[in-house]
Amino acid sequence: MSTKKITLLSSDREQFIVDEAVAIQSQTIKNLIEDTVPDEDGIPLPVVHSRILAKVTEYLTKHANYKPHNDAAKEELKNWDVKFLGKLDNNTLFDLILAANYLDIKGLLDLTCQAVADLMKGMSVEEVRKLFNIENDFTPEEEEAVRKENQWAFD
Amino acid sequence: MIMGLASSCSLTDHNYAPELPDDVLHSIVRRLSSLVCFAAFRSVCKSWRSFSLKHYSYLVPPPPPWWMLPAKSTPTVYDLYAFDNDIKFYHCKIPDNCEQFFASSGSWLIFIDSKGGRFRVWNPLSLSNISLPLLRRRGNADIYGKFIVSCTGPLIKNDEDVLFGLVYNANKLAYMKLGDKEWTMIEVDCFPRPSTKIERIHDLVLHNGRFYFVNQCGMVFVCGKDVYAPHDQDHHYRCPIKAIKVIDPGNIISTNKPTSHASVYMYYLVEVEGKLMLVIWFSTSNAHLGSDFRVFKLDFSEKEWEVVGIRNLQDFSLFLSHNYGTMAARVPRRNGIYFKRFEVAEDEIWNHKVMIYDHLLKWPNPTVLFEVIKLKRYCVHPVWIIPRHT
Repeated sequence: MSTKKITLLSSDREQFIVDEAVAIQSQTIKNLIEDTVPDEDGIPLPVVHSRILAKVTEYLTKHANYKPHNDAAKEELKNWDVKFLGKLDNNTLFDLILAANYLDIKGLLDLTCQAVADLMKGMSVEEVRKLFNIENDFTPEEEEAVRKENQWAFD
Repeated sequence: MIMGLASSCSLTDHNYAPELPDDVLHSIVRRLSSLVCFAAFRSVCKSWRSFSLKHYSYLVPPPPPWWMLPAKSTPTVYDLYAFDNDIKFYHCKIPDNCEQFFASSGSWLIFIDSKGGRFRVWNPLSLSNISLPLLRRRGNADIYGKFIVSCTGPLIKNDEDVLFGLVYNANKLAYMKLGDKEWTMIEVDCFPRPSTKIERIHDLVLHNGRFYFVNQCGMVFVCGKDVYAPHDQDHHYRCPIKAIKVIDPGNIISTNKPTSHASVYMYYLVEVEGKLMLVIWFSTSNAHLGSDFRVFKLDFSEKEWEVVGIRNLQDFSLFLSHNYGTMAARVPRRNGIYFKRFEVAEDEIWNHKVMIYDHLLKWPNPTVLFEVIKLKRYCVHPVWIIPRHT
């Protein structure tokens, strides 16, 4: 039996060939398939790098082929998700979030956002800044006000 | 979504964590495990701080609401009932130029200033109040229904993006930002089938930067624009924004009716842990106390309703009131629905009951938490109010 294949094209023009059922778990890809004339090389996803698209298709393939019917199967899929997350460094994790958001893949977005929320557990403000690579842009007065407001949490 | 991604540009640049769009930040912050994490989040930088202020009301669980009702002796003093493990009560004096509140939201009540002829929004604990433009309306009767303030906290003093939403004349909607000179209308699209006509809006809620409302048939609508989006201040008039239907009730009413003769008394929309829920209050008999409830979660992507058992309210209890703010809060009696009914004891005397229906009880026997007997002329709908001082 042959299933329809879809070619996805990353920002660096690498091709990813997947089953249609795998691809259309992304609402964005589904819409692109329906609404646009494909590039002859595939469906262009100009903001997703091949390094990230590889991860996305890995996730989608697992989730398309694996429909859990009982608790044990659900548990197994959950374990797979945990392992999948475990292999990611923080940069890849953030890139995956953006890709999941752009591609509109709810399951992957939920999973990766939860992973970031879990990372933030027990972190100090400085550690959170480091994680997200954000500079402290408060003036000393504002910083003092913020510190007071949240004093209960950090004493 | 694409916009947010474009601004963070290249996904291949490893020198910085990308800037995250607001909806992604939402999704992360909602999953933080504690208020301490949230406190760290909002201390990071200016933009995260203003983000957390903007969404404070649902990012931080509100304290248990109190019940507010005019005192027996005089209509200018209200009693405030706190439901902790036991019931305590306090008093507050309402502003001089207030005859009656017509709605509440979070920590705020709204009334029409009898002298100035403007709306006033008032916090009974901090006593702070602000003035808003009045809306032109038809007649003088029971004209204003629901009212929403986007914050329950102290923000009203700052010039943050505080939003107000209002249902008036039963099925009209308007909103404004703090600082606006006038209200912006929300237009509701007409639908061909007569049954889709919006005769009455039962409830209004602010969810993810958009107003959602439910009509007399249980249909849920969304106002098509992110109301936090900046608008041109120089414009003297602004285009009304459109509301579009999100989901029909389908057969949820017929399949979830508690008894065959039960009828829908009221629909409510409430946000619990960032998820939008529809609550149906059924009247099960002609007697005032015959009530039953069903709770549904809205699955936006599938356009489906998911039945939520009262046990699964994630330790929240729901607080319902006639046309005052619907809310969810964590209280000692978890996974329950607090509501109020009244009985006419004698002609001039009404008996208000605060009742609770929770997962420990076998329906249809909600417990009466307490009763207050009122003279009819002092009888206005009691109000749930979040006690926030700051």
